Amino acid sequence: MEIIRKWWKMLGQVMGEGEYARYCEHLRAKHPEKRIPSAGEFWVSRLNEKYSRPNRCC
Amino acid sequence: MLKYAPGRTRLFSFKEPMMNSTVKGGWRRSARAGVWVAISLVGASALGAVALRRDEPINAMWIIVASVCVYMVAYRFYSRFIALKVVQLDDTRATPAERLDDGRDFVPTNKWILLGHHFAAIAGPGPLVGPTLAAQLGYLPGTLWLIIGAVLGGCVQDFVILFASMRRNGKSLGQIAKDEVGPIAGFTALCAIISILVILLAVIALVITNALKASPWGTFTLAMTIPIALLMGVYLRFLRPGKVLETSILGFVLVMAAVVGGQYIAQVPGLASLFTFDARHLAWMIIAYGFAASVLPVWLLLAPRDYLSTFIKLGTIFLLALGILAVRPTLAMPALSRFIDGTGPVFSGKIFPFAFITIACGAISGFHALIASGTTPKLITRESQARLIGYGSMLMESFVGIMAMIAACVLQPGIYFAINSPAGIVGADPAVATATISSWGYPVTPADMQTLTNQVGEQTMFSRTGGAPSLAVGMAHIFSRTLGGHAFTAIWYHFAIMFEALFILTVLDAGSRVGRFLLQDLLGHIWKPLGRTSWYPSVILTSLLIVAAWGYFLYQGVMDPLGGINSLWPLFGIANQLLAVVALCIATSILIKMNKARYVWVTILPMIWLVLATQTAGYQKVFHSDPRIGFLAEAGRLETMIAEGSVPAGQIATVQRQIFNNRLDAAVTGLFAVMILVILVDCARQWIAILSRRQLPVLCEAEYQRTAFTHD
Repeated sequence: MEIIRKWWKMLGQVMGEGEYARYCEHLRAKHPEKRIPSAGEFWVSRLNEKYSRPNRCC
Repeated sequence: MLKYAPGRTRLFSFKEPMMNSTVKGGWRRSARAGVWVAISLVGASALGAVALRRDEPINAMWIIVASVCVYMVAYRFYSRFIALKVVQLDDTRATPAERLDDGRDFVPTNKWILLGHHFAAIAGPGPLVGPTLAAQLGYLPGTLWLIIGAVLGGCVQDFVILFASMRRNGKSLGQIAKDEVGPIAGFTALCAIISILVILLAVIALVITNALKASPWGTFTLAMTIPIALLMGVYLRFLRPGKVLETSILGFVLVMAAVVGGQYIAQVPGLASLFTFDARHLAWMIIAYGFAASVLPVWLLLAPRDYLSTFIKLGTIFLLALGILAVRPTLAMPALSRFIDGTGPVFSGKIFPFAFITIACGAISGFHALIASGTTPKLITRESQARLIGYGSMLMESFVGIMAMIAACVLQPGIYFAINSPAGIVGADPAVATATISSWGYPVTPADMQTLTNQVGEQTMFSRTGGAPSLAVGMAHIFSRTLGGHAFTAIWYHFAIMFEALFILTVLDAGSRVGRFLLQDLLGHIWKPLGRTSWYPSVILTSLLIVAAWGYFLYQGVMDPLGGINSLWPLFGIANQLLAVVALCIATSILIKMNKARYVWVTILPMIWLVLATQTAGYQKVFHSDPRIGFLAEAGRLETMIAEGSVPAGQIATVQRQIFNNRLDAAVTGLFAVMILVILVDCARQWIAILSRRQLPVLCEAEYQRTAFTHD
C-alpha cells in the first residue's frame, strides 16, 4: 500500500503536480514581501509559459 | 555513494565510484566485472541471432534481449566515458536549478521524476510510426539502426546538448548556436527549427487523417477527446487548480467510455454517417483545429489534452512492454524483405539512405535537442544526473521504437503490405490488391482482409497508409492475446488508434503554438509589434501563417495518388536529421572549445554519418531518375503525360498542381541540403581556426559556483 502511494505521488509529480505548493513555499521562504498568487492564477500563468516553447517532441 | 570530500575539485556520485583497494573491494569488483561480461556476451549472442538467423522465423524476445543488453552495456560504459572524460560532469558545480532557484522554472528536482518528465516530453508518435514504415525492409535494418543509432548517436546528442544547456543556465539550442558558433549558425538553426516544425506537423497530421478516414468509430473517439479536454480544462482551472493526476484519471475514464461507445456509433447507420469523413474533409477539420488550439487560451484545450495524452502515453507504453513480454510473439516478417532493392510500396528507395531517414525518432532525433535545451536543464539537481536523464531517456525512446518494430512485424507480411500500400500502387480493388501483393511473395487473400476488417470493426483495411493503422493492428494482436481474446480485438484496435491520434493532436496543437512563437520572434526583428506575443493581430497572423504552411503540405499529401507518406515522410526524416546535424555541430564546437579535441569523434562520427545519409537522401529525392523516388523525375513524367494528351481534360488542373507540388518538395529538400552545408561550413571554419590557434577558444559557460548541497 505504501509502495502504491509512493508511486502514485511520483506519477503525479512527473505530470507536474505540486508545482503551486512548491512555488508558495519558495515565495514564503525567499520573498515574504511578495503577494502569493491564487492557485488558479498560478495555474494559468504557468501553462502560458510552458506552452510557449518546444515542450513536446515527435 | 562517494562521500562529500572537500578539497577535491572533481567529484562524482555515480553508483560505481573508483573502488577502494581492500581485498573485499577487489573481490566485489571482479564479481561486478563478471556480471558485465555476462551481459555483454548474452547481448552479443542475441544480436548475432537477430542478425544471422534466416532459416526460421525468430521470436521477438531475441530482439528484446539483444536491445536491452546493448543498452545496458552502452549506458554503463559509453555514457560513463562521456560523463567522466569527454564533458567531465562536475558534481561540485552548482547547477542552474540550485543557483537560480525561483520555485517555478528553476527547481532542483528528483532525478527519477525528471527522467519521467523528460521522457514524456521526447517520446511522441515518431518512434512509433517510423519503425512501422521501415518494417517494409524486414525487421533487421530498422532494428539494427534503432539500437546502434541510439547508443552512438541519439543518446550522445541528447546528453551533450543537455549538458551544454545546463552549463549555460538552460539556454535554447538557437541561442547556444549563436553564442558558441556565430550569428550565421544561430540564424540557420532557427530556420531549421521552424522548417522541421512545419514538415513534422504536416506529416503527423497526414498520419491521423489516414487513420481516421472512413472510420466512424475512430473519428467519434477522437472527436470526443475535444469536449473531454475542455471539461478537464475547466475542472483544472476553476474547480481543482493543479490537480493534474485526478483530472487525468477522470479524463481517461471518459475517453475509455468514448472508445467503447464508438462501437455503437459505428453500428447505427444514422450516427455512423455523422462521423464518416473522407480524407479531404478530415484534413480541413484538423487544420481548423490546429488554428483554434493555437489561439485559444492554453488552459482550456491544449494543456488538458496534453495531460491526458501524457497519462495515456506512459501507461500504454508500459502496457505494450508487458504485453510483448507476456505473449513473446514470433515475427512473421522476414529479416530482409525483397524491398531492400528500393522498390517498396510504403516508401521507395534503398536501405541506404532511406532506412536512416525513415527512422529518425528512436535512433536519433534532432528535435530532442530542443527539449534537452528547454525545461529539463533548469530542473537538474546535480550535473552527474544529466547522464541518466540525457542518455538514459533516449535509450528508453529507442526501446519504444523497438517495440513498434515488433508490433509491425508480428503481422503476416501480406497483411502488413495490404494495409500500408497506397491504392495508387496496388490498386483499389481488393482482388487486384491482394493479387499484386501475393505476387510479391507475401500471400494474402481478400478473405483474410475481410476477417481482419471485421475483427477490428472497420469498413476497410486496404491502403490505410501512414503506419498508425498497421501499428494498431499489431498492438491489438498483442494485447488481445494477453487480455480479452478476439472479442476484444476491435476495442484494443480503437484504443491503439485513439492513443496514437491523441498525442499526434497534442503535438499538432503544441507545435502550432510553438511555431507561432518562433515566427513572432523571427518577425519581431523585422517589425517590432509583430514580436508581441499578446498583440492579437500578430497572434492571428502568425498562427494563420504557421497553420497554412503545414496545412498546405498536409493537403498536398491527402491529394497525392501515392498516399503522400511516400513524399512527406522522407522530407520529415531529412528535416529531423538536419536538426540533429545542427545539434551535433554545436556539440562538436563546444567540445573543441573545452579543449577536448581528442574526444571529438564522439560527436563528429554520428554527425558525418547523418550528413552522408541526409545528403544522399536529399540528392536522390531531388534528382533520382525513378519517378517514385525523385521529385523532379515525377514532375517530368506528369508533364510528359500532359504533353502526350494521356491526361483527361478534366484532370489537367489536378495533374498540374501535382507537378507544382513535386517541384516545391524538390525545392524544400534542396533548401534543407543547403542549410546543412551552411551550418557545416560555418562550424568547420571555426574548428580549424581554433585548432590551428588562429582563434582563441572562448566558451560562453555560466561561471563556476560551488554547490551548497551536501551529498545524499
